[in-house]
Amino acid sequence: MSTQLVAPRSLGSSTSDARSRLVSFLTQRRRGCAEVAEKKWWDNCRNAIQNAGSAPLCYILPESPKPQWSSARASIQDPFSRTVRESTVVGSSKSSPRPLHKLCALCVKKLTRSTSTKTWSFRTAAALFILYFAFFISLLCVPQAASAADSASAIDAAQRRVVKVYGAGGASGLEAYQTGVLISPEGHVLTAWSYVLDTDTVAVVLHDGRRLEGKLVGADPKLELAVLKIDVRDVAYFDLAKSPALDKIDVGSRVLAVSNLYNVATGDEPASVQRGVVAAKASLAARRGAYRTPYTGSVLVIDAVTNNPGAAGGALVDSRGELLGVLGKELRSQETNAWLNYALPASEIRAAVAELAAGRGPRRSEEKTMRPEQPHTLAGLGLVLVPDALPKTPPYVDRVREGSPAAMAGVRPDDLVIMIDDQLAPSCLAVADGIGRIDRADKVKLTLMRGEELIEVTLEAGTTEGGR
Amino acid sequence: MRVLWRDKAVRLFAAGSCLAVAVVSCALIVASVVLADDPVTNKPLDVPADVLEAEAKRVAVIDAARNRTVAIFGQGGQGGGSGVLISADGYALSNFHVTSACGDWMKCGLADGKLYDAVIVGIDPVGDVALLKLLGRDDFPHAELADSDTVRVGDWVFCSGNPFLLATDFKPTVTYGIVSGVGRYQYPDGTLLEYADCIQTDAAINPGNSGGPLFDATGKVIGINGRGSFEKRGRVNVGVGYAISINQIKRFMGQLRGGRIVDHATLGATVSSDDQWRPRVDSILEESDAYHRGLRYDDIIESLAGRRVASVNAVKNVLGSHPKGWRVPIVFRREGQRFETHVRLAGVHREAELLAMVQAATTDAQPPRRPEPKKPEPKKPEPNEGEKKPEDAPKDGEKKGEGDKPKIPLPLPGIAVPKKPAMPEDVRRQYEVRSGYTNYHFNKLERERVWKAFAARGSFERTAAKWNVKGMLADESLALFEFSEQEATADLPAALSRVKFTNDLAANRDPEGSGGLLVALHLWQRLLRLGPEKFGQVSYWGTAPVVGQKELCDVLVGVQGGVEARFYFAAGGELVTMELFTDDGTDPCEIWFGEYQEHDGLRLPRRLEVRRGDGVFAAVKVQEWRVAVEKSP
Repeated sequence: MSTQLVAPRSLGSSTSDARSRLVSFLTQRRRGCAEVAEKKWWDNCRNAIQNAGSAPLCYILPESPKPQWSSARASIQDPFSRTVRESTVVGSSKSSPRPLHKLCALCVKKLTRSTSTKTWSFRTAAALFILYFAFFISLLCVPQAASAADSASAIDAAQRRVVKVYGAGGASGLEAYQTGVLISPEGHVLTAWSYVLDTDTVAVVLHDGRRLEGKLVGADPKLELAVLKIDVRDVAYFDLAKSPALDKIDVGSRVLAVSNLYNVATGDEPASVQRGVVAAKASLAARRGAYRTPYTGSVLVIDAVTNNPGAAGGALVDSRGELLGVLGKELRSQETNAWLNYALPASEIRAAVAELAAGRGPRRSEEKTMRPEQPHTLAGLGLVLVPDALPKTPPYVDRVREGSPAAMAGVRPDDLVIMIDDQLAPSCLAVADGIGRIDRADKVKLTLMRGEELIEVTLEAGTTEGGR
Repeated sequence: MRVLWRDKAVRLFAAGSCLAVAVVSCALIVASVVLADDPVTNKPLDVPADVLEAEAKRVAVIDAARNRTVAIFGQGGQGGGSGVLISADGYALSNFHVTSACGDWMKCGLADGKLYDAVIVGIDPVGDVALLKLLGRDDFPHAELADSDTVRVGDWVFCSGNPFLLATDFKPTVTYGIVSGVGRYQYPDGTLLEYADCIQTDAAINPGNSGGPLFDATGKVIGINGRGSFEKRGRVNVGVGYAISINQIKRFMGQLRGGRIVDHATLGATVSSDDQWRPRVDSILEESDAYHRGLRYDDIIESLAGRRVASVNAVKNVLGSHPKGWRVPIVFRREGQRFETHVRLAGVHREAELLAMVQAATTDAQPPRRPEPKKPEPKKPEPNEGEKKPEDAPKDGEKKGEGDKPKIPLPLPGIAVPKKPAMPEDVRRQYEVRSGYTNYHFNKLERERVWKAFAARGSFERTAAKWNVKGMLADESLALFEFSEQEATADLPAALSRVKFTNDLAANRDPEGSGGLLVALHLWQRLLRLGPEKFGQVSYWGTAPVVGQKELCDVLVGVQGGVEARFYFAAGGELVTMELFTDDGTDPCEIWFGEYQEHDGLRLPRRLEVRRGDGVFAAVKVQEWRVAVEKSP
């Protein structure tokens, strides 16, 4: 969206009615077109209006679907450019209503053209009235001078909501740092789930240099995301609920990636900012090493190089500073072997993250629950883990007793137990404890990591052990 | 029928509405001049005039900037990198790691397709900067230098240079991006190639871009590109490049133009983060100036060189972007008490050590290893740690011999270094070897420039051999000075001191507590009467600030009889102050010259203030000068 032209702030809610009617009208129009380009155009109009949210209508200028959209113009119009913006601001006090005029003019053109071939309907007429209405409203509103700090403040706002995360690692090729984003005023931090978090103390450094301990609230091994909690109040945060839905994000729209790649920034130094466009919306088909990644849903592919060490967990924002997605871990394409620059869309992970933040996601159970009278035992399931030698020995399967429930379910030596019944079990002790909380009459669901593949198996005691 | 009628009514109504909207819209369209593009009919885009104007300006800016970009090649046309012209007479900036691979002179191509000879002028091996001079024209297109402290994250920037040596016709490649970060600190390679307070950009910087300019949107130079975070993806851009800030280079420019080998600053103390992540002194050398000025173990540094330093990196950023020898303000805190003073910055290296390292990097025709960000070290490397570099260099050579697939370093290596071509005549005329200098020829030029500006204000050549000064101290007591080539006397209320000069001036520190005022006066007179040529060893030091002034002064340094005197000349040529250093590491004796007035056709100060360390030894209000000009025969 070419939103560099500046809107009046005073249009207010009087347009919301007009807006919704305009949207339904545009939807209607779209249905009637045959050409793809034309459909796209109507879509753009509609999206523009919807994306504008409560913003004044003058913001709305649909992007041209013209394929040869001049790159020169695109870059000169970039809303992040202070210099260029200054030059447009000069003219904007006079010309800011222009976008709406354009829209109206275009709508009218469309209508007049379609009348020659198609029949009129009441809806069209009504739509014209709406156009009228919106139009006159726009005449009423007085454009105000632009705030030159708009895009600079989008960067600043994003940087304030991005944190640096430090934890395990430091050995060659395993950086002990990554990035996170604040997603609640109480200090919930969304970040990538990685070995960095696999330690007792994770440090979270805020934009102002405050260094706080991050407690793991929950992790989703499928999305490879985790939520940490730090002890702060009233911090600036990204509201995931307000993030635009995936279908509202246009391919080709401008984005900023904010992350602490290469740990370039330390303490109160602001995170690095890169600019790019959404290159594609696609489903993720990626690998890490020889293994496929568990998440295969939609991602935003970006043309900026964001697959750098430490960038995972960073923010992908639009020109207004809204969170579009979270930068993913370093992955390569399964097909082309190319390093992928992508973000997990905020709207796709919103629900899972909310669960994680609320403590309801797959997580290690901290609270004491009632223990069943006849619980499962490792021996009973036929699982032999590696010797519990460390404070937090990774729960690798050492042996599987033949004919046991574990063997029947397909558990193999060297599998790493990740979760028991969707509860994280990060150590041998935690596995033994988790198994001991499940009644022998119930099934045990294990999530295993085999290589880097996640496998779910279900163990049933009854099948071989009988009623012992 | 009914249906038809209704249909008609609708049509009529719709047509009416349509007409009305169309009329109003048309009026508006005409009023706003701008016609929207109709995507379906593919009419050309009608772009608002201000956007077109901005676009045209941008194209013009890039066009001009391209002409100011230099493609640098070795003497045989091999290897190379990029650079940028900064003056009409051909001075150009590049990276040390580019020019060190080329040697004393190089070939430089401009966008006009012409190739020029260029000679090395000055180098800053720690900051990875080199100054060279293109020869053969006095009307080179050149770029203006911006104030890089005003650069902000998100600003549009563009790079211009010769990545992968693509431009066989010397026309530079332009890449565009934004500022990703400012005030970045990147660890040095050993003790060389440290990037302090640098600018991070996502504009593509690739091998061969090294030494090229980073321009702001108006085409002014904000930095010199030289480095990127490359380690994981092979040697190509990953959207993380670094440019040396132009404000750092400005601080070194005087020394670079003076043909020197420049060293960067340390405090003589190391800092680490305290529990609040503030920079806390965790070790300090007792012989450092910082210690003399009162900085102690456990003190928290609040500000350095006028910049607030809230973290260890911030301290490193300031030190790494300042030259050795500068005197800068420092603010530190101890148990709630705040101290403000000025500290003289020490050098990262001993002089001989730096020369050896430069030698190793330059004569080793191999390009230096690419700078790689090192693991964070808590302390600044001690000077002797830098000795690793010469040991490492041959290893690189060995690797090459083993037939490894050659990587593309910054700069690109020559395929084979052919027989060294002879130095062209015009280069030879502007090149002079002298130990401790990159190119002594340029030092002489700068020294002449400074002295000419001073001498233009009146010559002391014909003054008497003996000078007398009568003045009054702050407490209105009398002060008498008499000094000549052979001896000097100071008659002060505290004591009468007299010195006969021998070859060893360092032995004379009289009067007591002044740090050698009589020797200083003697050397001052000597420079004024004899000029730098006959004084003995006088060279151009570079530029440095003096306490209490923002403007940089030109500094001449004279070495005589085991002592070193530094003379600070303000922009107009006036001598502001001088410092006398003996080699025992104590505070120098400073004489501040003020309230210049005409006296027998000579400009002489009416105020002499003698300072040492933090205190004032004597402030003399001059009542009478006797420097009687000898009558010409």
